[in-house]
Amino acid sequence: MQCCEFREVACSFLDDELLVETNHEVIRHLETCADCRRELTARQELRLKLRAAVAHAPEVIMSKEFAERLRTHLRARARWRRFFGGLIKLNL
Amino acid sequence: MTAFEAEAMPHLKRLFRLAAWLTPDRIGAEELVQETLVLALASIKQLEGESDACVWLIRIMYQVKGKPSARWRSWGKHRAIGGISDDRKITAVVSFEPRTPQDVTEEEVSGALRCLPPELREVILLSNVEDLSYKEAADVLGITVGVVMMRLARGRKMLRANLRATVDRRGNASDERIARAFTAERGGTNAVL
Repeated sequence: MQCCEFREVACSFLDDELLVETNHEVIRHLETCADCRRELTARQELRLKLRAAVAHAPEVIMSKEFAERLRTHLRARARWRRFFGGLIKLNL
Repeated sequence: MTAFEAEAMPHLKRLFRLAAWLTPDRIGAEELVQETLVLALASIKQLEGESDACVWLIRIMYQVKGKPSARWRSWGKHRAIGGISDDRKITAVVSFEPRTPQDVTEEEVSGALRCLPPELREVILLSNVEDLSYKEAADVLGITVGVVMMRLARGRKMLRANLRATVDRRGNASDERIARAFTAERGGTNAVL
């Protein structure tokens, strides 16, 4: 495997989505290429930063009011569904 | 506690996080999550055949998002959150495999993600953040695994290129600051001399 081929499949390797044979080729290449090992580490780090960035963005913090309003709404819906479900069973 | 509360509600924060990245504003995200859970409640029996409740909920979220009546659908299909719009133009530029920059901040990563076209951003969110397999992401989006892989490759490449450009801009700005400080210092010395 060449470095350019490794760079094409490096992310799929991290995703664990490569065929077993390709996985082995990647591992063999990494054993001999320090440059690609560095690139793989950089991609792993970027992935962690991406997760953190998505999780810490201010707009993704759900307000407590919304969560509470939603729970109340869903409980009311569930009650109605049980009520109508009971009525349908009675009619049957 | 009902089966719905036990199975679906623990994923509420994750759903909201994804919705916030898929919609233009907080109200859109709240509407999307609410409609998703209402539909999930109505189809709770389907959950029995599912191995992962969160993937099931995300699939429902995409069904809701795809409804013609959903107001966030009018949010331009090819519009990136950050304002860069034409993804073909960007991918044409990123024909090489950019090296991954290491010294980037979370804010810079977040900014680069926002600049991606929505269809590339969403596969990255599903795969890298929500940990869906390629197959699960394909099911959720209603596309083939091959298309998921293609979008992931393009999205990641663009993300790395955006970050590389950010790092380079930062480097240039820093060089300019040093040059200005140096010039100012020399100017001051000359004035004294």
